[in-house]
Amino acid sequence: MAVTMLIGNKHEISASLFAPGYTMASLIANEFSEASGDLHLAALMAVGFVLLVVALVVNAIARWLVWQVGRKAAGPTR
Amino acid sequence: MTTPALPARPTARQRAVAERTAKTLGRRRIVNGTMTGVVALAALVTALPLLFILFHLIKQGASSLSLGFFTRMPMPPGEAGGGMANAIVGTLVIIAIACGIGLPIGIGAGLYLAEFRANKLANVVRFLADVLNGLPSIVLGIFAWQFLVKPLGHFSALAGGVALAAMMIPMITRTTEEMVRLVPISLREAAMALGYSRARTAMAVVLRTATAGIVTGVLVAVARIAGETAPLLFTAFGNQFWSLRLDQPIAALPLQIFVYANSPYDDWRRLAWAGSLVLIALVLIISVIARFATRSRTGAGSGD
Repeated sequence: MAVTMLIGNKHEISASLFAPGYTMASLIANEFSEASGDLHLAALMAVGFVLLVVALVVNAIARWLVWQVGRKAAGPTR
Repeated sequence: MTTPALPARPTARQRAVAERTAKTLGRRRIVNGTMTGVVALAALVTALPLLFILFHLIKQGASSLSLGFFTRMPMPPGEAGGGMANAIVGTLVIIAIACGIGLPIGIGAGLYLAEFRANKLANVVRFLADVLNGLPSIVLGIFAWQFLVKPLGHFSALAGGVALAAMMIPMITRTTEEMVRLVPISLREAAMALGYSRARTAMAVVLRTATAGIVTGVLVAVARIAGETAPLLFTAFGNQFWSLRLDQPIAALPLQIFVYANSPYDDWRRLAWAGSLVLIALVLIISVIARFATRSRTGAGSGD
């Protein structure tokens, strides 16, 4: 929400870091309660799903990294 | 070094090492000093935002804070003297619902994860709890909307509480697990030796020993959900009027702050500053009260 208030909420991809942009979470926050029709709702649900997948993948990578380090640390002592 | 039994002469290898160490000593001292400085700076920068926020909030919000802020209802823009009484109560109601749902599930799940740590189910749950923890909170709002708002046909305080509970559960699960793991195995063995069943050991000995840590974890979770706006946007929805009904939209401080801060009216924005100050104070008060409550209850029994 902090991002939503500051990022500018502009439907545009800009190369400049100083230009307004949009995030997936703020898109849902802004449009969900005013979504008109099932298609709009479904699209916002899809954005939510993408966020879920991102969280899943990042966590899987983190798990894998921990597992790797743990294996390496345990290796020489065996 | 020079014991009579051993010749004092260092070997060639030791001499070489000593020479190399002496040569790089100056450089290593500089690197050491620089890195210590960098880390100390990072620690300072970590504390700075909170100080800035507090300073700014008090500067902007304290002037709009009055008794009326806590007792009055919101006013239309332009009319002075509005308050946030309904939002303050609404936030407390939603937090209570979230705790009612989240605490038993979260603590139970954490206990399971700690007691059956290598179990396949435990591993899956642990992973999913981490994913849920890292999920943007707005997605949890969609979840509650889909299952509680859409079938019922209207926004409700209950839906908001469920969304926040979904946020709370993984946090509490993970902290409970960590805290229960810290309980020494000897305590468990002692309880078992006295004839306690495994379930009774877990409830009466392990959970009780870990209480202080678990309460701290719960406080952190409550503090985090108390300020959440995103999951409440389309679950609790906010309400301009006084409402305590769980099946109706209810006001919440973060929602009210969000709406007021984005509004073009000066007096609404002043109220948003004051609201932020109250929200921070609320979180602070909750944690202080609970800290005292746990200290008096576990202080006597936790000595080992």
